[in-house]
Amino acid sequence: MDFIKNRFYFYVLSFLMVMFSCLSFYIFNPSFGIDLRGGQILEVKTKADVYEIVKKMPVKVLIYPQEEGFLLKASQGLDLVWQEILKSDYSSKKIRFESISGNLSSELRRRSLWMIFIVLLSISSYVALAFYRLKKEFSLLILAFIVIVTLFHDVLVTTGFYILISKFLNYDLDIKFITALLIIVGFSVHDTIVVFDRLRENILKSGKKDKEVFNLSISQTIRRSIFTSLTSVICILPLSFLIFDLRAFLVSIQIGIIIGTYSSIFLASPLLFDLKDK
Amino acid sequence: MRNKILILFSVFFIVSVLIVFSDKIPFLPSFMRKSFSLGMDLAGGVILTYQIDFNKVKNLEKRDVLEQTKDRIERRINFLGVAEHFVSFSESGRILIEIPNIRDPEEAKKIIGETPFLEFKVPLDEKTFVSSGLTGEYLERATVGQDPITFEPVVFLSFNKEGSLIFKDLTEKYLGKPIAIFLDNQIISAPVVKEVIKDGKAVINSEGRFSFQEARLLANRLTQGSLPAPIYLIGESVVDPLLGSKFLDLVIKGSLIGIFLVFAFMIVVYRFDGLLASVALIFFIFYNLVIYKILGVTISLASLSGLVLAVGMAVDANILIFERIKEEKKNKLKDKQVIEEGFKRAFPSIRDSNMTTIISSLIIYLLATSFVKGFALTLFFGVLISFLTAVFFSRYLLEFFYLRNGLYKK
Repeated sequence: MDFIKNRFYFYVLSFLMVMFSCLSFYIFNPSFGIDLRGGQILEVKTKADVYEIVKKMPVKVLIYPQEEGFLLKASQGLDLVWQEILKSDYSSKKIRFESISGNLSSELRRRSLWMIFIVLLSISSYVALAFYRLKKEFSLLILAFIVIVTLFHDVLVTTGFYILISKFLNYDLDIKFITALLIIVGFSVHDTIVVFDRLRENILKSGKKDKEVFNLSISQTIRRSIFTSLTSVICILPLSFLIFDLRAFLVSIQIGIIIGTYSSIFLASPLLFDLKDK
Repeated sequence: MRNKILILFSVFFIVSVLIVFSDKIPFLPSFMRKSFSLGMDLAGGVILTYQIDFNKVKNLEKRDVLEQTKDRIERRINFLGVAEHFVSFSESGRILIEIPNIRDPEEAKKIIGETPFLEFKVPLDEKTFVSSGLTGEYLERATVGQDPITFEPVVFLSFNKEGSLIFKDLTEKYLGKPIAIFLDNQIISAPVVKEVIKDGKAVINSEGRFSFQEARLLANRLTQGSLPAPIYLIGESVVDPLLGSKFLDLVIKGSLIGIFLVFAFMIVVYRFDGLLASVALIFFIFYNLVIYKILGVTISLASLSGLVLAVGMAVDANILIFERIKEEKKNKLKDKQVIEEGFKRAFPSIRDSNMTTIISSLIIYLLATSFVKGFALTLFFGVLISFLTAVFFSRYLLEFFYLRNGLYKK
């Protein structure tokens, strides 16, 4: 397969995906998790008419029917809802209750931002270190530029797809999702390092920096890249099917791994090909 | 030499298996039969987050208030009699309490967060009582006892110096009249004062209102007294133990299926090499579990997904090596050289790929809370150990089988 010749199709595809992701924030209006904005979650097993009870409440309560009960989300007042449920069906069972005040959630928000900042800083430093061996073949500035572009691409596109499916499956943007993104960033960057390392080896061997060398390097590493992502995706697949609580988190990791692999193959190396002489 | 290393690894493996299943082996001494500690989501339990209200506390006194609160809260939790708990405090006055496997989270909340308000009230007229100014604040100690006549549980109170004086004045003033004991604004009893009490001793008679257990609880809570500054519950998370055990089954099932899928993939694609890699992965999983047990890493939904993801990523090192070996074989080297070259060439990639994940998971572990922390920790250990097993162990395993059986003779 001629990756370099077809690169513009992939540029267009990536561009469209990034555009879609930026728009998805406006179109789908994603909901943030209670850990980031404060709020309550109540999961109950009950025969009571939860819809009727919620109607009487002064706050907006979202209801998600479960196998044997309901999952309720609201900014506050779910303790009252629980009292009412218990009144109308005494055998009701509280399975899970989570409550996070605005005070706590603002601290979690601050911590998450720090986490993002420090992880990105350390990963970039490591990448700079790893790419230092390529300094004879390519300009370090160009390499840095490409890593930043692919990084933004991965984060944005993963978020876009996640928001899209979260519209249908009621997932939230929460700290777990942020963590997933950070893990993905590390994953995608190392795929790129592997391809570029191979490129360097082949350039040293052949003394050329032409299309063939790029294509050869990509095709030599593509099997490994795909297999590695595949094993990482399939090993968490059963967990994401079986356990509802983990589903959103693991699905976001799976999306990110696939996007990251795509960008390291179809975006990073072709970009380097176009910018190599700049 | 190679045989020795293989024997060493086998011994290592057997020891790890023994450690992992140590709680299932009947003849071991009890201190060795430690079991894994299960997290809230699998054992059920409660996580409570409190914030100390520092509004009325001077800056200089913050430390003392924090220390005192720490001490009082610890004592209150110990009183719950739970098998294990985890409490952490931050300088900003945040208190995080995790209690796994608790039957009644509401009781925990009550005991940790609330101080019973004890008050002595004096009669205004026939029916109403008003505050006398004597409250639980003046208590020195409360102990539980038994009424010598009715055998009902009672709580003995002894006031401190100041309290004793107030009590003496009250009993003088209301001699022959009832003084009521209120707890949390509910009347408990209203005994008639028969004599002036000078020693600051009083008795709360249950009159059938509370059991011994409850009397003990009350005495304890009264003794421990109030916290130096108010605390507010700002975050709460309760998981039913039944739900937890259901999740435990599911997460074990899910993890095993995931790991077997990876094995199947490796064996289909790489045949014998894939089988060896799978064996190495089984070793790898046991090493991880040993670390969890020894360091007391909590097993939760999050930490197990971290481990499973680490397994998926750990395969990467093997794939890198196998793909390299395949290429080196084309260069017509001998078996041993093929493996050596394959390893040598794949090493920088293995190091880099593991390093990025090690860095991000370590930072996430240090900065994040609860769920994410557990995930990042096991992912960190997983990737670190996978790096070590891939570099040291898989290589010897490959060389051992290749050289012995000459599987790749051309």
